[in-house]
Amino acid sequence: MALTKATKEDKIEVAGAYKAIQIRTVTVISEDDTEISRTFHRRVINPCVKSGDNWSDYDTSSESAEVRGIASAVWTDDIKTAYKNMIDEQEH
Amino acid sequence: MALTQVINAGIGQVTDIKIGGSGSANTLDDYEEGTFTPTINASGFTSITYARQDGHYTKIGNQVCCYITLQWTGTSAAGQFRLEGLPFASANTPSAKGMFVTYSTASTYLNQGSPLMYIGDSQNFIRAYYNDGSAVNVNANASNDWFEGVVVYNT
Repeated sequence: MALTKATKEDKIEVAGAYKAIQIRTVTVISEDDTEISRTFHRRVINPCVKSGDNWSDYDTSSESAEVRGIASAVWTDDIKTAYKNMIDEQEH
Repeated sequence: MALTQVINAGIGQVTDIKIGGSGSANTLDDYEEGTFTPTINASGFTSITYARQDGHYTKIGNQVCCYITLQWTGTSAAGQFRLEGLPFASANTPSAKGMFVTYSTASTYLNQGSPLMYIGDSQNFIRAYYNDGSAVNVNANASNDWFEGVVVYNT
């Protein structure tokens, strides 16, 4: 009787006009290759990050190669500018 | 006698279910439960550590409901209470998206007032405002500050 635990990013979605990347991580517990538990954990990353009044690009260096590739493809300069403008406009 | 219809994935994943009609407005095309990791952000906050950092969500169709519990210690905060890490980006359409606070020691107003907990379009964080629209700041130095609340928004 062997219990195993496997974790992986099983769903990566690009959402909305500002290309938010939604990442779902699945954790599967199996007993003798029979799945007995499956749980999900989610997070969202955006093209830019604001700290105080200062903007910076989101640092993708700790992300998986797949996420980095998607971010590189969809987070264009226009998207980054539009996202920053949108956030700044909504703050009051 | 109750009648229960079980839909399982034995013949492949069910991609949508029509309820009460055949149109897109009658389609349940997504259901998911899971966890996420909420965080507190405020300008200048340093050395923040969490004793509790619990986020659970249920997504039904385009509606997301989140349950959040946070307990943290940090120093030197000087900015607006901002709760980050929601599991989905909100819809990019004007609609009511927000939160009600069930308990908080993060600021007196968050616990005893009627804070406006605002989620903007295409965002996965929440900002706190007074009723006059000005920002609610967190306690500058938090020592096991506590926050609990429920978030509802659409995607």
